[in-house]
Amino acid sequence: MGKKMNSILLSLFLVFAFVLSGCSVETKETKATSDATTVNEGTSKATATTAEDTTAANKYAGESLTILMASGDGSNEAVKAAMDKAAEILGITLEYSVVPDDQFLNVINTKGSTGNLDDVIFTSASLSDLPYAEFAELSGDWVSHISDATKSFTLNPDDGTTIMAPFGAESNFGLAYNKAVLEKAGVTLPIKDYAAFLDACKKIKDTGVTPLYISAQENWTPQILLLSSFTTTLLKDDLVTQLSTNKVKPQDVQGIVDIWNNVKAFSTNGYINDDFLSSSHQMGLEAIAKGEAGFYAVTDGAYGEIKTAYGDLIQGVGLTLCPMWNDEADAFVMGNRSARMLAATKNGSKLDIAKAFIDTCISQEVMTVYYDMSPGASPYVDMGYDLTSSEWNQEMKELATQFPTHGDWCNNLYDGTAVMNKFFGEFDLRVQSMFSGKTAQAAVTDWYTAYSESAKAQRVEGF
Amino acid sequence: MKKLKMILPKLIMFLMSIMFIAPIWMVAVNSIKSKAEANLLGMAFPKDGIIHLINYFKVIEQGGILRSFMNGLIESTFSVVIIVLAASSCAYILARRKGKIYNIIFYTFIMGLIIPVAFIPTYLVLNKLNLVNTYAGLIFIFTTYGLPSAIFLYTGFVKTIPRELDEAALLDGCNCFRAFFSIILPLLKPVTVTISILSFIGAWNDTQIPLFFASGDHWALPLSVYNFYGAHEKSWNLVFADVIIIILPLVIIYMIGQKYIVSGMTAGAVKG
Amino acid sequence: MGKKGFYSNWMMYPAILIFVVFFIIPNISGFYLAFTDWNVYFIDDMRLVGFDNFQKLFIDNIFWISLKNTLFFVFVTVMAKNIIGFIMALLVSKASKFNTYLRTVMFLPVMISGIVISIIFLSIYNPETGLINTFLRSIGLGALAKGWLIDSKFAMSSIAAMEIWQWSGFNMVIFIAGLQSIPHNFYEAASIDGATWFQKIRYITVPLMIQSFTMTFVFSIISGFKVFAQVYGTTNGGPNDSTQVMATFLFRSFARGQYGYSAAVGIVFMLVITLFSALFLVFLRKKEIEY
Repeated sequence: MGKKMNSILLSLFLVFAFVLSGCSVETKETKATSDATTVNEGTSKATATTAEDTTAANKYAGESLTILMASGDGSNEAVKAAMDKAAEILGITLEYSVVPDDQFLNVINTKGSTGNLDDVIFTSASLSDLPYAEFAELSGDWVSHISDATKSFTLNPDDGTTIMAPFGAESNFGLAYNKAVLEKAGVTLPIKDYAAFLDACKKIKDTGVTPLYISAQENWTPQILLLSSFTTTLLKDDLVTQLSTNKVKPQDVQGIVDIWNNVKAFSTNGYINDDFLSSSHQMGLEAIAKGEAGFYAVTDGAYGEIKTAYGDLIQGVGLTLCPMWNDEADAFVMGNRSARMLAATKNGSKLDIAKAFIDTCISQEVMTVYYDMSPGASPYVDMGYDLTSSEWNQEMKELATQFPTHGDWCNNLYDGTAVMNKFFGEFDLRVQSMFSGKTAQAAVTDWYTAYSESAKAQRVEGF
Repeated sequence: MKKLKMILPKLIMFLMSIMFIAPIWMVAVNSIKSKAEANLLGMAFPKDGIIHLINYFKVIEQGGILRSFMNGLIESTFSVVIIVLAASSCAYILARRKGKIYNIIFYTFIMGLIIPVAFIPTYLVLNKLNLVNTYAGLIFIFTTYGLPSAIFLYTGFVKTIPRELDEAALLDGCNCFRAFFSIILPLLKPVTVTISILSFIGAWNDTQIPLFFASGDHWALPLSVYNFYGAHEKSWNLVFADVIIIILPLVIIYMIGQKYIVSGMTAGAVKG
Repeated sequence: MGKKGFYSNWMMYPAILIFVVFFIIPNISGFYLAFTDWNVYFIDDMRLVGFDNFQKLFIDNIFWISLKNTLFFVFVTVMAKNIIGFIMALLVSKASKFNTYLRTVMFLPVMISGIVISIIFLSIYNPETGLINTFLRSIGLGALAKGWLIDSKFAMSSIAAMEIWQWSGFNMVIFIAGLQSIPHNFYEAASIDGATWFQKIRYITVPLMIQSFTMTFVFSIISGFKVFAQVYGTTNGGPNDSTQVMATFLFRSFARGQYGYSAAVGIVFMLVITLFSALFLVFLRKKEIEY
């Protein structure tokens, strides 16, 4: 009898807790609308809200927008914080649909083709298979300020109108390095080629520290080693045209197999952490922040992650080139256009609100929220305000005076177009498989098999 | 020696039950750690000694928990009701009437157990009926995929109810419907309980169907996990807090209704 | 009974209607889709390609790996779930507070969503910090600590173990029911005849519970063939495709937007399950009649 009483009490308590949390959710909504009205009344808030924003806040207060995101973006705190801030300014609520990454493409295309698309889309620009025809033309002030590097990725490939608003930093990929570890081992930067890199690894290993950290449990980190070094290999011998028209297979090109093999070699040369197969990205960040590893391949988003998790330790970490190439002449700085984009659905019933939302996102107030948590180089120029850019971007900028800058092999603009965009071929899984034991030759062959299959489905000529 | 024989099985079972509890403990303990520490996935108490209950508040706020909870409740309950009514009445006919056509119908339903969900065509059907991202659409889909096992169990059970009851009802002046609802259905209670529970759990925990046929505002609890779990970014502390919240409702229902659940399932199982 | 007029077909129609609209129709068009090259890039434009999809399917190495893995998975989990479930049922069938606690705990995992179980076990199986390896090391059996989900030798078995962990309790409950329906005097009579505990199980318990066994076996087999969330959530087919099962293989082609191809995979998938289920049902029905 006592047990039953207990369980009833417990459940009542939990129901009570749920109801309470429900109340707090509602209070948040009412708080948002009351915030909007306070701004309206002109009470002082140390934020630069323009008159246009206040009228927008006035107009749309109480409305709601649906926003579709992949979990890769949806679980990012900086992204969420920025979106919520923009919603707060406008006085609207956002209903998130966060979809697993590998289903994002399916969901967005199915919904797009049946006219059920959410009001706002938040996506990664490196996806080439988005339903562009469903996106509305955007025309905020910011359109004219988009940087040249990013511009082509915001345009509708069919008619050249701007359909996507870049959000988030233009990125550099490379090797994060621990300054103290390198100093102790006597390693100087920049390292210009693979042989020199192996030398540096040896020096670091001699001081008792893991030279290069690999987190192969994740499927997206090992590929960074190649994403930041593969491009120049493809620029040679007109490979881009040859590969994209299926005249040559990558597994038959020695240069390609060689550079993949340079990466694969780390799985056996003893210069990486022993637990690489089960280590996570978080562990990699911790190792590099605390000086337990010399190098770790990252995107510059890691700057914000290390800063949030480890505070001042970020001062001891820098970003440099990732020299997997054999020939010094192939050295380059990996600089990419902005990774994240916002779009509005053309036939959505709330198109006006969606557009206002996007304009609000590209405002100083919202961008500041994002860049404070995740510093980087803004894809906009001459906006009239400065955003927190990280020391890492500064470092790479300096290196860019010494070496050419290219994007990652998949999104790089070869003669003005991102030709290789269609040939991703599950690149991330291919690189990861090399750490699980596949040879470079086999991994490159798998890459070809995967991308040729996808190219065939996309009816690319030659496949 | 006899005492050992008595104790040994109990000891084994106790150890086994630890095996069942340990994973849940790991989830619970990691749900109160900071993000950095939780991502290391240890079993110990938070090293910094702080219990990060804020994780739960973050999850509730960002995961839209209350609405997901209501969604799950609505979608699961209605599907269960429809499944029970439709399947039991259908099974009644399939069990009683003889003929090839009824066999064919029965086995077609069984195919529903085997064939995986055809997402795109089903989506197109829903779209034609304007049921995409609606409660009705989701409820129909859950019902569809719950019917096969329900009909399977009900048919077996009805066969054990003597036909004499039907004849008696007929003599009393009932038509088929009255006979079924007043006499047969009450006798089906054990199976109904089993099916209700299984279908409810199935609909509540399903992640594929709502993902594809509806948007975030109609999703139930388990899908809220994706708010914290991406390919590039995993906040394990929030994920685990979310997991605890997701498990809790069913656990509570189970603890309260345990006696009825187990007895219902056992009775339903034996006869079925 | 001859009273054909009594049983009204109308009672069937609601279930049939729902089923036809939301299951039969989509699957029939799915059948047609298997012969096209419909994909996400050309949603409005599909071409018939005959048996191309099936050809591609049969020469794909991964398809055969997934078939092998699925069969392995079905065999191992069906055996283990039923044996463990049966043993557990034997141990906790008597009514007692302790047994009630045990029953609750063992049945609990059934109520947890597949994705959630995968997440939990991802961390348990972690070679460095996971529960299992930490425990092994703490009792000095560190040598047994393996890379459960990252070593292709152990990955599939680890996933099978997870499935067994989750669903044994379900079978246990069904068996408890069966056990409780066996009259006590059977056992008493056997005791008088001098039967051992094991003999009692073999000659009384098992035969009288054949119906429960049928039910659990059927459910175990079908859910074994359809296993998806467990693999998807933990390894998603990895490492290096060593844990692909039929459902993840199907899903992968679907996630890549190759809808026509995945429809073809679905058909082959369905044929395989039907074949094995039919074989097994025939076998079971025979045993049922025997007993």
